[in-house]
Amino acid sequence: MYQTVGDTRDAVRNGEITAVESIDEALRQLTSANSEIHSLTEIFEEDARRVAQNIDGRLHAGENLPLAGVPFTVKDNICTPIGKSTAGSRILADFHAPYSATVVDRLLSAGAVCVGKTNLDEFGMGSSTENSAWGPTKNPWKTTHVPGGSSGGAAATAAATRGMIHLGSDTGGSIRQPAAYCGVTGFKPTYGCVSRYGLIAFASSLDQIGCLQASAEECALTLQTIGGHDIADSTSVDRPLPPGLDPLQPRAEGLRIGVPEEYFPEGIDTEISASIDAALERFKEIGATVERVSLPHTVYANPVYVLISAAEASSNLARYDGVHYGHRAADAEGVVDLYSRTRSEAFGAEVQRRVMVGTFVLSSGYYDAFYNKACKVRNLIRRDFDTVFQNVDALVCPTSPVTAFPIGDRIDDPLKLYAVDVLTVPANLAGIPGVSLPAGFSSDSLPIGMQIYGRPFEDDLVLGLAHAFQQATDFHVQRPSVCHWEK
Amino acid sequence: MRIEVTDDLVAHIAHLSRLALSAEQSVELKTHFEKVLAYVESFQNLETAEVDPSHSPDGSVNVFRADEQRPSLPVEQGLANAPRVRESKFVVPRIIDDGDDQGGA
Repeated sequence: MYQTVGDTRDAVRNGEITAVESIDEALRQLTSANSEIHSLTEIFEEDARRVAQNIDGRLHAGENLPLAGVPFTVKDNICTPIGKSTAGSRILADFHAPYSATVVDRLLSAGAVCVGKTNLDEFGMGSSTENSAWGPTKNPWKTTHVPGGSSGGAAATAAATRGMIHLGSDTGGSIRQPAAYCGVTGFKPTYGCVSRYGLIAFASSLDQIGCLQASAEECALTLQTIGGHDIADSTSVDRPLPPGLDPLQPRAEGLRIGVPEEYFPEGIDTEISASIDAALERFKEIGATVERVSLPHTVYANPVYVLISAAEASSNLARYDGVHYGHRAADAEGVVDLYSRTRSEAFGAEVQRRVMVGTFVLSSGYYDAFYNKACKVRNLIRRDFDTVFQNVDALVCPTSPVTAFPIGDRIDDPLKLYAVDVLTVPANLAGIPGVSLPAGFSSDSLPIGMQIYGRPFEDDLVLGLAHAFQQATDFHVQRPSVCHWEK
Repeated sequence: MRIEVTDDLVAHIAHLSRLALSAEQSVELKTHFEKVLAYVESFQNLETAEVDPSHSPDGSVNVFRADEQRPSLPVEQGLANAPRVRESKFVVPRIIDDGDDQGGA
């Protein structure tokens, strides 16, 4: 068994194990984890073994495949050439994507093997993975608790397995917040740095594909493969990826770290602030300087996010009409009846709430007062980051004001659930890169996450700083007890 | 902007959203609307007259590419997930003689 993605890759490339053996090991871990935490919607046993056999043949023929035999899972809102792509929704219960996402194609071209799809909140709308049509995922550290969301399936799988790549998506913290709750490293690249072609859209000005891994090093290795310009996504930026991703260079010496005072709101768990304080001391020890900074419009970020994401969702989800693909209501009387009944039958309660709010803020008479106003405040939030990044190289703050909470605790109160995103949504509004990494444990043994934010397209600096911290600490190598496959 | 959330407003938005809400859902959504509107009130009075709206994080507007022919999805694949298909076409309910709502969403 190999502990890291790099080890798995090297073992297959050096001929220590075959791609088939690598995939068999991954399937064993996934099956074991899934039986306890329900983190996957599908596991591709036969397909993955068949692809691995093909990889072994190509390696034998001398082909150069940089990620030969490396297993990867895909959040189920990202289209794959095998299996279904349901986005956690009954409206796409039997949807087989006619094309695969660019990120998936790039991993497959590098010789990596798709082993399964991970669970999520429906269309990425949620922070606990309780909003999946296929049932909730459990936190591997405490199975009575949520794994966070919406990439809760990927985060829980990453915590309970080793040596695989896990793709997720992040619209308001959907990679970073579950990474924090599950004790893994979750990376949201700069907006435009990774193609979203083949990502089932939630909110297009905020959505970003990234990954959930055991370390910042693994995130960098993944970005190296999935990142870069894609003509199929007009928002993907035509510029080279930053150098120094593989192998990732640790960065701390001489860096100026800002600590935004607004990211320690009233009511934040004191164990979380204590862990961040301890982490800042560690950053100083490894050569960074630390100073307090202010991002004054942070308080508006979550309300702005609630409106903008709902507005874009209402537009993106208009495509689910019971005609082109997905569920269709039976015996509809006319086309409007078909649309309305199809959508009400197959969308979950939270999706319907957001479509309603989004439609409202875009409707005649309310657009300027709500949607356009929110977009203006979004600009103020962006400017805050521009200003602060003139004086510091990175920002360090908590990922979430709370640790993982019990399943069922917040699901009946949407606003209470939205509140856990308050420290992650600003990065999506501003399009900046962010990584969440383990920074400690609470007194009840739940992981505590720390975020690092950086300037747009300085993804290497953000990951390099996380890597330097992980070289100086061992929080990221701790395992939940659910890892029975290790025995 | 102070909004009174009425049953008629919820019904109107549900119609625009193409959602057929149950009576119970309508009541729940009315309460939800009130809570969301109270939640977003915080930025309503912020001075933004001189601020441009930001619709995308990188401020990009249009992206152009050469107008070149490229392969598209074959018809069979495009129709493969459709709930009802006839003669290589999507099947929809009759849309004429459908009252005020003809044309659909």
